[in-house]
Amino acid sequence: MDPFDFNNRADRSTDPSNNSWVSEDIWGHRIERQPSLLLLLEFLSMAEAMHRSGRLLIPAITTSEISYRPYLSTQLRNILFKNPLITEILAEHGNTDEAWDEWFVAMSESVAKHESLKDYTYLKTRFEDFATFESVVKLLSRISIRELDARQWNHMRIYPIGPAAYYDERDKQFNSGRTQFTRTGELAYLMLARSTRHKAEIKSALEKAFDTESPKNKLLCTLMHDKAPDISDSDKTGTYLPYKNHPCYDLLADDVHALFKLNMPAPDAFLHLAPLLAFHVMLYQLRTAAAVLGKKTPAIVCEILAPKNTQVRKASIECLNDNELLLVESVACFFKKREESDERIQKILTEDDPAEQSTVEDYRNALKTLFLIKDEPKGITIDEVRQNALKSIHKNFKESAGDGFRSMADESGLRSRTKSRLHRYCPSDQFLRSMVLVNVTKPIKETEFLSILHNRYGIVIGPVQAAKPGTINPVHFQKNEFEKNADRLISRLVAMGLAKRMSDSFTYVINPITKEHAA
Amino acid sequence: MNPDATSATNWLKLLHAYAPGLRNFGAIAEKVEKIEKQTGVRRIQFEHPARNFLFEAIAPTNGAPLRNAIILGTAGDGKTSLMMEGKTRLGNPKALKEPGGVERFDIETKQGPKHFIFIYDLSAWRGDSPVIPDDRLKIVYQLADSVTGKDSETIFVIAANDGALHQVLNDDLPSDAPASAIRLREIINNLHEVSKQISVDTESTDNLRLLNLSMIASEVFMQECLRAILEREEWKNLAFGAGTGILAPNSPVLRNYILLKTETVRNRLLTLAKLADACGFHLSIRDLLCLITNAILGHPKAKKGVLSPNAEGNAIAESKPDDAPLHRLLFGDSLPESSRSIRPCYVFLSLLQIGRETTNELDDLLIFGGIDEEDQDLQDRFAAVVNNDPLDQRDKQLNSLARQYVTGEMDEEATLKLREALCAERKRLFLHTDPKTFDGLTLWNCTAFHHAGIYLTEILDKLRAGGIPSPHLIRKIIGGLNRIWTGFFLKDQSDALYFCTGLDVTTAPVSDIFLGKIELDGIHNDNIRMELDHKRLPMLVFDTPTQKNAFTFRLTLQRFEFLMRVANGAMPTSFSRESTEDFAVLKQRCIRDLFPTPPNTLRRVSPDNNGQMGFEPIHYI
Repeated sequence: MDPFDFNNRADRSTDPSNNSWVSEDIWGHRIERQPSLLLLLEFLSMAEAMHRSGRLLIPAITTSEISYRPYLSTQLRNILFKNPLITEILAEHGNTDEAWDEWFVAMSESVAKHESLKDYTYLKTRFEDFATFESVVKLLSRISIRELDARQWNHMRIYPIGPAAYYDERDKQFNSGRTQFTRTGELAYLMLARSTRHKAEIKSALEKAFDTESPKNKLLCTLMHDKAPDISDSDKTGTYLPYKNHPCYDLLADDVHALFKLNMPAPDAFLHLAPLLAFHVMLYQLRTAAAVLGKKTPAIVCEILAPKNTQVRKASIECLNDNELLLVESVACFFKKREESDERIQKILTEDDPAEQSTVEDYRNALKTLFLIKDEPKGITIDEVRQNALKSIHKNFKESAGDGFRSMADESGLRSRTKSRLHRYCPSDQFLRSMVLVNVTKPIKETEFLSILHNRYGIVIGPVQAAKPGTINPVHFQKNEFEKNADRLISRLVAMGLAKRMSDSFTYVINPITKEHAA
Repeated sequence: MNPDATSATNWLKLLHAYAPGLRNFGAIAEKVEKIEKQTGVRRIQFEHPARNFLFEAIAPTNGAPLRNAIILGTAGDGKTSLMMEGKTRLGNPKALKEPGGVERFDIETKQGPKHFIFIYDLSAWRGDSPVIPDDRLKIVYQLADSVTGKDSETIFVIAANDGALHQVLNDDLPSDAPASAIRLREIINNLHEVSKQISVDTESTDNLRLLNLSMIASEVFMQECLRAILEREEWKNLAFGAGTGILAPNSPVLRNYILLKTETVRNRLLTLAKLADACGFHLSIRDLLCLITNAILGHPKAKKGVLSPNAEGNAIAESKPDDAPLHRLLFGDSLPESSRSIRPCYVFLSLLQIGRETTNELDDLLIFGGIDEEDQDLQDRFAAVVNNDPLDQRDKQLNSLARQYVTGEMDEEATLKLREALCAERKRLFLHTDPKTFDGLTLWNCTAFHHAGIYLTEILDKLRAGGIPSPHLIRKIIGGLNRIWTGFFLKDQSDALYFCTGLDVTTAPVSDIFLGKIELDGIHNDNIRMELDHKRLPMLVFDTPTQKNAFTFRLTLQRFEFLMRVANGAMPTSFSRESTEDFAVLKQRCIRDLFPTPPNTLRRVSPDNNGQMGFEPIHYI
């Protein structure tokens, strides 16, 4: 994949709120910090809307192909999250018509874009009595996602049990918002849509999850006037994924396919899909950065939690720092190469007198146009303007894509500071479980598992992978330390029921969800 | 030294070679061979439980064609010994030895002249080399030809652990390998399927028998190892020889040997071996020989925790004869942690946590039994159960520590000592108490598996004898499952297994959306029943009328204990996180397989105050 191959690029969109447009040209608009469950919900919200409009997983390249109208589920959200008095009303008025009337009055405080959505009287005909209605509200409130720690009612969400739960983000006045849905989930969807693998199978699995007739979704819809979620009046658009093709898209598709193939109920599969999406977005960022710099696929050296500081931990800390640095360097490199290949800038630099103020001004304007820099880069020489522009671009990177990279590593369960002052790659149990679920279809040797993780993702755990030239700093390579690291992995997998020791030198890694491994 | 003493010393030297001193397991065989040559004392030997399976393949008496044999198994399962037995059966011909543990010989069999190739250790074939050497690859091709019938004159007998075999036939086989080698690879790649029995013949077109020694029950190995060590004639020299030091009549060696020979201790060890398999541990011959020899020769003061039959060993045995009671040695108390942690037998025993748990009844007996002279009943019971200690194995400090405890004169150090002494005493009772004098089931309360006794007698033994566990017990298991899988405090005995999910995910801690149920149908409980699997271990089987395939899972001791504890009121998550996760995966698989499509209507479950399941349809229009 060549990041500078402009034939392999989608329509470039712009966002007036952006300060510059370099990170976006490298990784897309945009990758930002986002909890994995919100990443998943944003992904599902876009995928469902595409499904509704008959475009599910069709590679979206142009701006119009990327736009969609998500569900809002206005009444459902008001009932579940802006309805504090329901239990008190039941207690005060009992299971009576007065209770309904009192509740309708209380719900006049609900928020909606259309007045018609503030009328809840239809509910009286849908439930046997007020107490039944209250118990359903209570039941549904139990699946609200507490991990999000949402303080505002409009940011509260329920677990994705049906399409009506994949609603879009709204602010308090029910206008569109971008605090929760940062577009990273949309990028994950676009990555999957542009992949070339397992389209039919993944589509079929997602369609099953989007079944509006499933009993759980019907329960959600009963709370809404039209027995269906209301839909946004305007298109959501502006998300930009630069490359039409990318090996990371296919890698993501392989894993999503492997996960759906386990035939778990959709909500169960989503539990694993959320961190998996975060992992693949991180991997996409990392590998794209390496491609920009013309470097080989970067390694991800993982420490399996050790009781004390070891060379593996040191190698892992160093690897994480190197990978983060790789992204920073790729921004500078991309800036430089784009500048060098821009005819207008090259003309200014080669034909005009750099000492002239007008040349500096032209250069400043050319840079602004090329990289969509919002705040004018200051400086009285070309060099100063360039440095200030780069500074502003780096600042923008640090706040968006750079922060997003760390967030995705955290959300996937790969980055941790457990037992250490510094961050390093130290996978969580959840991460390891997801890796086994998507990579193991029949019992495989532990050495084979390690080599799969290395070949597919660049993950380094055992000595064989660590010994490969250029993988880690030779100072940190101690064969026995990496052997112990691999042993710790196996012990953890055994304890989690994901591996079985067959003899002193042989362990099978097993996928407990597949039928063949039942024990 | 008199001849008996010399002979006794030689015997102990041989035993010492099997004890846990050596970390390099490969060196054990060399050391044993050396001692055997030097002293003339025969190594520890018994007929391998799988020998007839091998003989049937390579030396059939019924005129059947000869088969190649690949012997798999955990290191220490006796693969090499079994091959030696095979060679003896073939007349012990003079063999041509080649590097890499390969032997060749030609013999005349009932089926005509045959060329035999014995490969003793395929695991060592590659060594540090990144690829298998060409000459050895040729042998693999020759094996493939023999297995696929291309070469009927050559018969192979190979020992390997499954990892090595996998490596040679997968990683090392070049892409242009002949078709016969590819076929052989196919067979081996299905190994985990076909090797579910001790002996399996592959398809009739393939001329191969696979012997998987890991499938032999640990109990069978334990029986053989105990017999092979304890019934050796050499013990007479020790018992009647007027030795000193390690050979003295009061040395821990002789005392521990005598105790090991008692029926109670032998039965206890066989029970533990049976439980090892039920916990997913396979105890190899090497492991068990190590366990038994350490129980005889172990001593906390000795080098590496094991007494040697030399001047140093004599001095320790003489000066500290009481420091090495059997109940401490058997659990590896004299060994360093690094030595215990590499041996499955000690890892298994530490999982049981014998002596670490207790009951009020037992501790009353241990603490007050020795000092309360007014309670005659307690005294009688103490004399029968605790003081019954003819070989002086009991910790002599325990009575004085108990006295200090009762009078409240304990400092921190003494408290710790008392705890340790009580733990050791519980181990002693667990090992030596005859189940007839003390309720055998109660002794399991000293372990982490309070219900192991019920598991053994009511499930394992009953199923193996062709019976079925009582409906009462199955109802209790179902009661535990209902609590774990629904998150509700339902009745501890249940007539139906309820399948519920959360409104969000299948494994929600409180699962109150009803999917279906399986009712127990009377005495035979065909819908929910227990059967034995290929390893003769219990499985729980669920049948639904709508699904063709039953859902089964192995009821290991850990799972059974967890179910019983939860049925008795323990909170699943606080009792064991590992077991909770295990049952969550089981639930996920079970619901996926038995209820592939969710019901059209949502029904909520809510138990009443008596723990009876109630149903509440969610009415909406």
